Amino acid sequence: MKLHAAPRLRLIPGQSTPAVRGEAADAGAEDERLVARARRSDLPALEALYRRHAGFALNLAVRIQGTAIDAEDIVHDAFLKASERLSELRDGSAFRAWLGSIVVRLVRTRLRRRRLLSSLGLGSLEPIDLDAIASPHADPESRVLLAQVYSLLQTLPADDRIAWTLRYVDHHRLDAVASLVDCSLATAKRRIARAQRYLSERFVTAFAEEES
Amino acid sequence: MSSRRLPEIPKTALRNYESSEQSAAVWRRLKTELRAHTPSERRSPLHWAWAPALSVVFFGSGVFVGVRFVRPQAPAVVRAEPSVHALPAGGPTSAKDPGILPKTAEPPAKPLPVRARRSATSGSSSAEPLFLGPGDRSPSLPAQPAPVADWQRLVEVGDFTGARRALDRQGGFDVAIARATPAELMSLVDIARATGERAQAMSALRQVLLHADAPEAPLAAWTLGNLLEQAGDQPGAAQAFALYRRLSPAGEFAEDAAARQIDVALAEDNAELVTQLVEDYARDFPRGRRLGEFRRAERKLASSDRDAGAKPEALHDDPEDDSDDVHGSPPGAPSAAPNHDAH
Repeated sequence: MKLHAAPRLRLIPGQSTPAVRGEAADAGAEDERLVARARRSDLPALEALYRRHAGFALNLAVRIQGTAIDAEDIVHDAFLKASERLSELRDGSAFRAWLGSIVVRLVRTRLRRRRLLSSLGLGSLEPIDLDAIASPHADPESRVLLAQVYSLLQTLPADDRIAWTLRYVDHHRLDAVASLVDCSLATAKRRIARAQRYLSERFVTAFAEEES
Repeated sequence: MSSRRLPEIPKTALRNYESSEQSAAVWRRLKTELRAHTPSERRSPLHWAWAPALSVVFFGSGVFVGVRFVRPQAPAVVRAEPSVHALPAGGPTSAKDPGILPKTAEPPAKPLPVRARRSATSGSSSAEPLFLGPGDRSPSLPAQPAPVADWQRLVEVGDFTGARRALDRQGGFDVAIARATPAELMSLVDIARATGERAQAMSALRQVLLHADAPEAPLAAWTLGNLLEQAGDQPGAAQAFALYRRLSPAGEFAEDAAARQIDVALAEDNAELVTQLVEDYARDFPRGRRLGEFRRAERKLASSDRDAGAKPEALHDDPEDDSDDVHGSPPGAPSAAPNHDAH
């Protein structure tokens, strides 16, 4: 078994082409309009906001947890909180990121509670649900990769696990990760690096052809 | 097997919940709860601190009244329809605008703890142009219990078009309006707005306003104001905003409602009304976001009236009119933050 002593962070290539940026700006403007209406308890506007971002929130909850258990409850609670605190959101166009940060907070609380209960012998850590994470069309190699990565992630502290998942599973930019987990950019980088080092040291490939 | 650098996790390997059934299921739950969280319920916790004290006061008053006035042989009186006069006690402008509410021939009955469901055939209140036009009258209903409304189930799942069809099958929108409680009326408003029937939405909102003591009434007044404004009925919108302020003087939209009244008065160049409304606004919202803007507009309107030269002596009316400019713009107020985007 060959160990890589020096972990390396791989940078995800930037994806913000002008067209993508334009789409993002349009989406932000639409969010801003909807948030302004939703602040006045306009239910259709709230529904539109929900439909625009529910999938994103569900993806986030499932991917960070590694299971779909309680993901719906988390999204439900997050959106309810968001709707109650819309007045605190200064920039309506940032609704998506703001909702994401609420989801992340709720998931973190849940992960910590599960871990605490587990350490007290009052419960066990939830098993990884590969079918909830992996696409039905994912190839076997990807499924094995996900299974192994998530089983390793389970042993990491919640903060490191969340930061790494946001960066390398959900493919967020570093600044977005920092914003989602509500910490400084430097802290986010440290957490990601720590998790990456841990995973790299323990990750084992099962495919002989990749050893070459 | 060997340890190695982590390969990248491809996005295509991950399950995507963007258009999943789960999110639709969550919305079905959320919608009910969001509707239950009306703006008045989101006020500060102090709002609720009064509840125990009020309970004690009401209980004590009840005991006092019971001991002094109750006669055991008196028959129970059940009111089938709430009085349209029923406004929150101590509304600040209740006496200023008598034309805004429907008039009744009889004085309002004593409030009862339990209000009977409103009947469509009971028409004790007279028609009022803004809230009870002749065209808004509900049709007579058969005296049979209301069937389980499919449209309500469809509204719960967000299918407004389906709800509309179900309504049509069950006798139509107007029949549903006549049978509905204030909460159901607000659902009907949603259906009407979602299907582009603004007139029906306004009709349902007017019905809500007959239940002036319902928690939905302030929001109904606010929404009606917005719809009337969109429809170009500025005076009607101003009346609806005034009603909102009366129903919910400390409501979340009270400042905005006052501002919208002033906007309408300004658009009509009604200097006298503008002055009065700006004074009200300054009194009720001394740190109002648009106070400075309104003061300036008020002065401009007044000066343009003078320039019109209707009365030469008017030039001498208020020589110090320009002197209070500094009072018009509180130091912390944003320069101009019209909040008109919520329709």
